[in-house]
Amino acid sequence: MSNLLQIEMLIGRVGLNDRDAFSKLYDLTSAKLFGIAIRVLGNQAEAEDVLQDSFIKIWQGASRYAVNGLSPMTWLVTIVRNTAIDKLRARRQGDDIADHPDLADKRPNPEAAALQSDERRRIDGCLSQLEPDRADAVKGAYLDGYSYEDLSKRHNVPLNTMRTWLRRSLLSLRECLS
Amino acid sequence: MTDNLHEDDRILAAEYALGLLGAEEARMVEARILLDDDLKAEVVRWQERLSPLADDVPLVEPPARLKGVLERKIYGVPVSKAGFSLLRFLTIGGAVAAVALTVAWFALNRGTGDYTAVLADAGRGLKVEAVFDQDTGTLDIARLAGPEQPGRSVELWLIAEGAAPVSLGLVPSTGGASVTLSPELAAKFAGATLAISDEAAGGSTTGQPGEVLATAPVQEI
Repeated sequence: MSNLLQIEMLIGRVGLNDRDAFSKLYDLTSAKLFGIAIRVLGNQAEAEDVLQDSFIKIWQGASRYAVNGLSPMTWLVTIVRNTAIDKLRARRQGDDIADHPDLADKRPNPEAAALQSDERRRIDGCLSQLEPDRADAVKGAYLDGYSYEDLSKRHNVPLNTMRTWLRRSLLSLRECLS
Repeated sequence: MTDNLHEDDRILAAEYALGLLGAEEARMVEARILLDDDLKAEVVRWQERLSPLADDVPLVEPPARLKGVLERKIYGVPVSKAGFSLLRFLTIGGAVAAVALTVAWFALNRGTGDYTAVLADAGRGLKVEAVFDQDTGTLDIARLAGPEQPGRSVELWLIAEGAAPVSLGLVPSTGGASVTLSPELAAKFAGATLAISDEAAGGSTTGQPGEVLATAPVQEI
């Protein structure tokens, strides 16, 4: 059985409050999800909280998974990413992002780049058609949790300029990926 | 595309999926998604399009202790006093007591017709727990985290499958409160979803929720 199919079936059983399925789902996916929490937050203790909160949401939300239309890994990744970004924003509140240049350079390591999926190559191909700083802004929003406001400060452009840039970039990206 | 989504909404879906919006705008999209299937489908498409960006994030094994902590948080069993006394009886009371206690244990932990849901809005740091006791018809509502915003109230709603939301009352500004529900409302808990919404002080005047802050399916305990 493929991993994805197995994860999908486990989520279905978790939706019926099956604790054994929940335990297996955790074993299969927690390293991936914890990795994402650490990548977004850059902080182990916060990532642990986020992983727990995310699995509580998974336990509570699994019964509605089938109707949300997402593939199983995207559903899990989206929950963790959103939970991590919420935590990050709560931390950043009142705190100037420009004061934290260290947060800027969390690039993927070079070995990982060799193991890319077809989907990843596709989105990379589409991102490479954008201006480099706009492609960086899209990636920064996804994995660093930057909002329009954060990005306008980081790239030193007015908020509305950043909105216009990114909206155009997102439209091109959609065109390219569809 | 087979839907009738306006171009602005396609961009909004992308902005939401990417996480570019501020907390308020994001909550607004979440509330709209509940009612607008086309918008929801576009958000889903964007979440799928973007998810490969997480592909090369390195795997990190979480510390082994986390899983047990998580399971105790969710199932709420082995950390209770009953758990410790069970252990003590096993060592001092012998096998008979252990069997009797194990039976009692399972009896206690079978479904009781009581229901619970925890609603959390991480953006506002708000966490609300609702516990409904079917036998007495009592609903306990507790604000576990997050202060009341000045001039605003948080309202709790019951959404039975396919039905419009019904108000269960206001979430107390601090601590807990109990309300007694009518048998008609009590009968709707199984399989329902609870929601909390942001309202002007005193609660919704339209009979329907304002901005939905969080939803959670009701769990039988």
